[in-house]
Amino acid sequence: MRVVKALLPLLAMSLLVLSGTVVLPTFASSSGTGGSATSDGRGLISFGEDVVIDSDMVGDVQVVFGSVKVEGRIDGDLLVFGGDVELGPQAEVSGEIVTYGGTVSGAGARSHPGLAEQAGVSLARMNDWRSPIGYALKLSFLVVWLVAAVVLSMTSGRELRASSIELRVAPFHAFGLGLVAFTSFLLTALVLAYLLSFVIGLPLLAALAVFALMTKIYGMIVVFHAVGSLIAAPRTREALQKRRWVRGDMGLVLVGLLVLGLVRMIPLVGNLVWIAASLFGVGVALATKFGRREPWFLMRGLELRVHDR
Amino acid sequence: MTDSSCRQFRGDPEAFSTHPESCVACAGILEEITQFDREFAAHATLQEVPPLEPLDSRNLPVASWEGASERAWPLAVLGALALVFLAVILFLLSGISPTEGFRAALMSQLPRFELFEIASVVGEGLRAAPLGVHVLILVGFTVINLIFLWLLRRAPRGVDAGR
Repeated sequence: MRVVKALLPLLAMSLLVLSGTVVLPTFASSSGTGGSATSDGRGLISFGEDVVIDSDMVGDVQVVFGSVKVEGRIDGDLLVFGGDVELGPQAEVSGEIVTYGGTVSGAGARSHPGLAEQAGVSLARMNDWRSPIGYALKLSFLVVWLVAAVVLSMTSGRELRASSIELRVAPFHAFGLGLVAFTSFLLTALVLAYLLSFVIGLPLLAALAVFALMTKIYGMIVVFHAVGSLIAAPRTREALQKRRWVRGDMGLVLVGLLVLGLVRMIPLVGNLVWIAASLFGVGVALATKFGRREPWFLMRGLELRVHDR
Repeated sequence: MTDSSCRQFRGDPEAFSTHPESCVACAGILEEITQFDREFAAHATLQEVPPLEPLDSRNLPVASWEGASERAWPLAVLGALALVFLAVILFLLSGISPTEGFRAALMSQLPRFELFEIASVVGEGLRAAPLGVHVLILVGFTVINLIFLWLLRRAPRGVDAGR
């Protein structure tokens, strides 16, 4: 019965989305292989296939999980998710070029004003271990994290401590929950992306983004605290009294932050450690309800047993 | 000897202490008990109670909340200065303005409107996807969220589990 109750909202949402995809107007199909592409004469939408634009096109070009080669003119925006953009010598895009999870290359890339502006500080270069920019950006991120860690340890020290203890007591549960939560956030964002055409889609997606961001920030600072506790927590009162610099929750958080920050500088391994830390953090933030240690759901069975006594 | 006198002796050995002199069986039992008492007394010596040492509270394990509210400002300030100093040097080595570099780093940490644009692109693209992709996403969404809800039901152990 409880499973059915949990299943109902999920099924309802799934059916809503499925009906949305059927009811909403779709475009007339155009040629394509491997995936599917639709065009209504005011642009092009493609899913799962590579696209070549070799003539002039009016309207936005949107490609999901596919690459685009532009040889002609696009009078609109070029939006690509999960694919690369190659701009030929004659390529011209009047609007914006937005890519996510891909690169922009080709002879035309150099002449595009928007891309020229990005060339100075490209976040994509952050993971290039040969470039000093990558290290500089990572250090800058650490400063942002440090400010957030100081603020949170001042305002919610007790909650951080409770979550940190939970992480050290049950790390595998935290990691598993973090992994599932991350996948859930992605899939929920994907499902909410269907609903963006409706009024409700945008606020729901915004709420999900804010919640995911809060969870990530809180969780990472808990991981800093846990790492700091493992490395530098005083074991006796005498050791605590001798401490001059590393004192209290803030000190432990800062030690953990600096250690993990240094580890992040290691090529490849550093990024993997940071991702793993994020999963641990997201998991423990949710497992402890942001350190409040309250259940997310009312357990009716437990409530009845307490009343029986 | 009669069974009744044996029962009387076994019921109250001190009152009928002369009975074993006339009864072999009871004399044997008495001898056995006496022997056991002797052996027990030989091995059971009183342990010496160690003298109580004065309790030194400084050596007691520190609780997680002790001193937790204290602020490590020197570490925070010096840590931040060191990170900024190193980042500025690296930005300058790369020929990039440190201000521009910090701005880019800060902006990348904030949720941007671009994300919604990307979500919109994905949503539009998904509408053009084959039916199998829709079914896959919906099944994945349902299954993952059921597992998610199930994992969230577990109560945290934390402080109760000890350290």
